[in-house]
Amino acid sequence: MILGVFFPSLMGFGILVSGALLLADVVNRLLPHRGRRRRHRIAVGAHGIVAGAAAATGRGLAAPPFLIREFRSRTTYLAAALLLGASGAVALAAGLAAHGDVRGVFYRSPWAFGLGVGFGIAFEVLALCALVLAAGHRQLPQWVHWAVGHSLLGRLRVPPRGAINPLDHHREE
Amino acid sequence: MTVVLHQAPIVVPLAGTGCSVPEVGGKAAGLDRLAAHGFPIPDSFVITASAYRRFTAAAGLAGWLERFSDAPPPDPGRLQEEAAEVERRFLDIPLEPEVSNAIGVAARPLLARGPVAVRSSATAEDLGIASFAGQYRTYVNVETEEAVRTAVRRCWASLWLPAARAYRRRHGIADISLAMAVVVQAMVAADWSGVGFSRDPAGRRDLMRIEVVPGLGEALVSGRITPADFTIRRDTLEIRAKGDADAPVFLEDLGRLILQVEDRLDEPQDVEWAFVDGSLTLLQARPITVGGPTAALDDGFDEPTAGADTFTPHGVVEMLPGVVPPLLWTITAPMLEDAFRSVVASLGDVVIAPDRRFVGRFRGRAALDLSALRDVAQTLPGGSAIEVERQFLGRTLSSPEEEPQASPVSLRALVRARRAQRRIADEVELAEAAVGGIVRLRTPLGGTPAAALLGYRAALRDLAWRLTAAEVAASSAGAAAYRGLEVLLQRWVDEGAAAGWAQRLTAGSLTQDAVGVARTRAVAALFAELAAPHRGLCAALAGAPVRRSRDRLLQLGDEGRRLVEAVDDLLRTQGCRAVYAGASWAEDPEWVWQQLALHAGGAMPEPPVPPDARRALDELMETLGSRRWGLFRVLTGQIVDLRRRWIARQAAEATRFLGLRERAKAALLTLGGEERRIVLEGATRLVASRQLRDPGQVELLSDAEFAGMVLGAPPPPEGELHRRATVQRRCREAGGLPDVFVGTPDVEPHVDVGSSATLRGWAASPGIAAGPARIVGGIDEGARLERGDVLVAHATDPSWTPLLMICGALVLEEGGPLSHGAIVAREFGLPAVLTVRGATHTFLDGELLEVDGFSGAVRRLRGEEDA
Repeated sequence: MILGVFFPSLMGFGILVSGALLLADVVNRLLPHRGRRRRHRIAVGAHGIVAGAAAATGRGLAAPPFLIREFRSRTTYLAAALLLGASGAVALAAGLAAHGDVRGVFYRSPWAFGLGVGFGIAFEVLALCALVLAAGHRQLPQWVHWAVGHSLLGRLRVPPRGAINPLDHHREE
Repeated sequence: MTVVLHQAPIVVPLAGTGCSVPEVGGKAAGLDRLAAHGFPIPDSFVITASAYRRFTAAAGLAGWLERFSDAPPPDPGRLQEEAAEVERRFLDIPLEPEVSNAIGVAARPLLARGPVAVRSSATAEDLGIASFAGQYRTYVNVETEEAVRTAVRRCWASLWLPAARAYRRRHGIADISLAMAVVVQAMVAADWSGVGFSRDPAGRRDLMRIEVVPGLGEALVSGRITPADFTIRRDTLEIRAKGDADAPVFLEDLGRLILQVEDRLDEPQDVEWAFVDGSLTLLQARPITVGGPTAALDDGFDEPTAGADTFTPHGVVEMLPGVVPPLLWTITAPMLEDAFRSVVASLGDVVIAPDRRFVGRFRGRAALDLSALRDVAQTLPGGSAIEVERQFLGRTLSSPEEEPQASPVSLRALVRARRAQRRIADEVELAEAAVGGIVRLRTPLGGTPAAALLGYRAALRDLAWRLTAAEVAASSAGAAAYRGLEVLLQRWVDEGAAAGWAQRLTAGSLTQDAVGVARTRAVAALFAELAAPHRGLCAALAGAPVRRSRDRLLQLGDEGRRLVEAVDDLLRTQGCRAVYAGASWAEDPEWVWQQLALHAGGAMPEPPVPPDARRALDELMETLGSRRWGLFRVLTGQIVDLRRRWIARQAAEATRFLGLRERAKAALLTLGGEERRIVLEGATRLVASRQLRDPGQVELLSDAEFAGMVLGAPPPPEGELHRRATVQRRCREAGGLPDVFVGTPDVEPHVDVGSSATLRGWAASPGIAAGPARIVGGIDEGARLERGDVLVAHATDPSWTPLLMICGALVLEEGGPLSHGAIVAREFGLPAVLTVRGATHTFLDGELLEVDGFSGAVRRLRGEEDA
C-alpha cells in the first residue's frame, strides 16, 4: 500500500510542484515586462498628483502622452488579422451549416443564421481593420491614429520601468 | 460684608463661599477654592464681573468696546498708542457712587493693616486651555482707597490691551462676552516667594518644580529676575537644586502643601506662594496648561500618556530623532498616528478607540506606545504581542506563557494581508513617481499668494500622509517577512545561526530594485558620480576651505560651473536630511561640499559592494545539505529543491519590503524638502511683516499657528515663544529617553562599567572589527571620523550614510533589528551592534574598541597588545 500508493502520490505531487515552479521561471524569463497595465495606472495616478500640486499654485500641466495608446507592432496586427479572419470564417461557416442541417436543432433557425453571419462579418471586418493597420501602420490618416489612441487597437503606453516620472513625458503649458 | 446692588453683588469676600468663574473670574475663583479647602491665603475680596459690566454699560463704553473688538489687531508700531488710548477711556470715566462706595467699604479694613495688591481676574483666565499668565495687570503696594479705585479701573482696561486681545484670538476666545473681576488682597511682606509646579512642566512627571526668589515674587512672575530652581520628587520629597543654590528650610513643607493642593483641586497646579514670618501662604493656584495632562498637542513638549503604558523610542527615533520642535511634531505626529491606524485597518476588523495613540512625546522626544501596539497585535489574526516586542526592541519583555492565544489565521485574513502587501508596492511606486514630478516642477514660491502657498502645502501634505502610511506598512510587512525567515531557518539551525543567516540573506535590500532611488545608496552614489568626471577640478577642490569651494569652482570655467550646478541640483532634489519638513541639505550645503572634497582627496571610498545574498543562499544550502535530505528529495519527487525555493522566497519578500521601506522614506524626505521650502518662505514673510523676530522662531510655532500667521493672524506673545524655546532647551539638556519605560521616563542613568568595559547589545550585522572609538553626536561632527574608526552614536538616519562608508564598525544606542542603521550596516558588510545603552558616554573618544557583530559585544581594548 505504502509503496504502491503513498510514495507515488507523494512523488507525483513533488514533480507537479517542481514543474509548476519551472514553468513560472520560464514565464518570468520570457515575459520580463509584465505589469504594463499596473505601471500605466501608477503613472496616470502620479500625474494626477503632480497636476493637483501644480494647480494649487495656479499652474497647469498638459495631459501626458501616455494617456493616449500607441500603435502595436505590424506583426501583432498581422497575427490579429489572421486570428480574427479565421474566427470569422469559422463563425460564418458554422452558422450557415447549422441553418442548413436538416437533422440539427438549428435547422432553418433564423437565430443561428443571424448569429453566425453577424459574428462572421464582425470578425472579418475587424480582421480587415487589423490588416489595414498592419499594412499602413503609422502612415494611415490622422483619424485612424485617434482611433488607435483611444481603443484596444492601440496598446497602453507607459514610462520606462524604473524611471516613472510624469514630467518625462509631457511639457508644461 | 457683601454689598448688593440690583441683585448682583459688587464685592464678595474670598472665604470659600463657592464663587463662580463667570462672576469673579478664574483667579478669584481659584483663591476661593483654596480657602474652601482650608489652605492659607491672604485676606482678600473680589470686585465682581457684574461691577465691571455695570461700569462699561453706564459709562457708554459698551458700544465702543463692541466696535473695538471687531477691529483688526493694530500694527506692531501702534501697540503702545492703542494701549494708552484704552487706558485713557477707562480712567476718564468716574466710578458710579454705589460701586465706588462698595470698594471703599471693602478695602478700608485691609488698608488699615497695610498696603494691598490689586489683581485682575478675568472670566476667561486660568482655564485649562489657556493660563493668560501675565496678560492682565496687577498693582502692588497700593496704599489708599482712591489708588485702589484707580487700580481697579486700570485692571478693567487691561482686558482690552492689544497683547491680551492677541492672546485670546490665538486661543479662539471671543472678546465681547468677557468681563473682568478684580481681586484686592492684603500685601504679604514675603521673606521668600515664588512659583511651584506640582508636576515639572518640562521634565519628569514624578517631579515637582519650584522656583524661589527672596522677597516678593512679582519680579519672578514677570520674568525680570532669575530664580533659584529646585526639583522635588513627588513620592519621597527628595530635593535637588539645579545649580549650586541652597534649598530654603521650608521647601519640603512647600512641596507637601503643593501636593495637597493638586490632590484637592484634582489636577496639576501652578501655585504662587509666599513664605512670611515662618509660615507659607498661597497667593494663587491655577491648572498647569503646558506640559501637563491638560497640554494641547501644539503647546508643550510632553504628550498625555495612556495611564501606565509601556513606551520605547525604538522604531520611531529614526523618523523623529532628538527633541522635535513644535512645528515638526504637529506636522509629523498626526501622519504617524494615521499611518499606524491605516496599517491596522488593512489587516483586520480591529476597532481602535479614537483617543488611543500610538506615538507619545516625552521631554520633546518621540516614543512608541508599545502597549497600544501589543494590544492591537493580539487582536489581529495570527498576531503576537511578543513579536511586536521583538521587532522594536530586539528582545522580549514578557514570557511566551503570558501571551494570550493568538486569533486563528483565516483564509480571508491571508487574502487581506496579501492584498495589503500588493498595495504597498503600488503606493510606494506611485508616490515616488509623484514626488519626482513635484520636485521637477520647480514651483516658484517667492511671489506666490499666501492662500496658494498653503494650498500647495496641502497638496504636498496629502502625498506625505500616503507615503508615511506606505512606509509604516512596508516596514511592518518587512519585519513580518524577516521574522518569518528567521523562524523558517530555525527548523534546520539554532536560533543564533538563524539570525545570522537571515541577516546575510537579506543584505542588499537597498539595491535589489532596479529603480535604485534608495537614499542610503543614492547619496553615496551621487557623490561618486559627481566627483568622477571632474577629477581635475576635484584636485583643486581638495585643498580648498570648504566654505569657499563653490566660489572657487565657479571661477574655473564651464566645467566648474557644471559641477556647481550638479551639486545645487543634488541639494535641491535630496530634500530633508532626516525628518519630513525638517532641516534640508540645501540649507547647509557645507556637508555636501565636505564630502566632495573627501572624494577629491581620495579619502572617500567608493560605495561598498553589498554582500551577495545569492552566494549566501548557496553557502546556506551547502551547510544544510545532508544525505538524509537528498533521499527525502528523491522520495518526494523534488526536481527543484523546494526548501531552497522556500527560503529564497521568504528572504526575497523580506528584502523587497525592507527595500520598499527605504524607498518610501527616501521619497518622503525628498517631498519634505518641498514643504521645508514653504516653511522657510513663510518664515521669511513672517519676519518681513514683523510677526516673528527671526526665521528660526518658526520652528517654535505649531503647524496651525504657522498657517494662521501666514494668512495674517497675530503671532503668539513673544513671551510664549521664549517659553517654548526655554522648554526645548531644557528638554535637550535632559537627554535621551530610556530604552523602555512605563508611563513616565526617568532621566537616563549614567552607565559606568569600569575600565574593562564590555557593553552588550543586539548583534545587527555580523563580523568583528577593532578601531578607535569616535563618539559622534550629529552629522556635523562627521568630519572627525577617519577610515576604520568605530562609529559610536545614539542613532543614525539616511544622512549618515557617507559616514558608514568610512567607518570600520558601528555601535548605536538606539535602533531596532530592522532600523536604518542595521540595514545599511548589513548592506555595507559592516560589523554592527545596536541598542548598546550608555555607549556614547561610557566609551571615550579615541580609545580602542572591539565590535563583535556575531555576539553583540562591544569591548574596550586595553592597549596595543589587545588590539
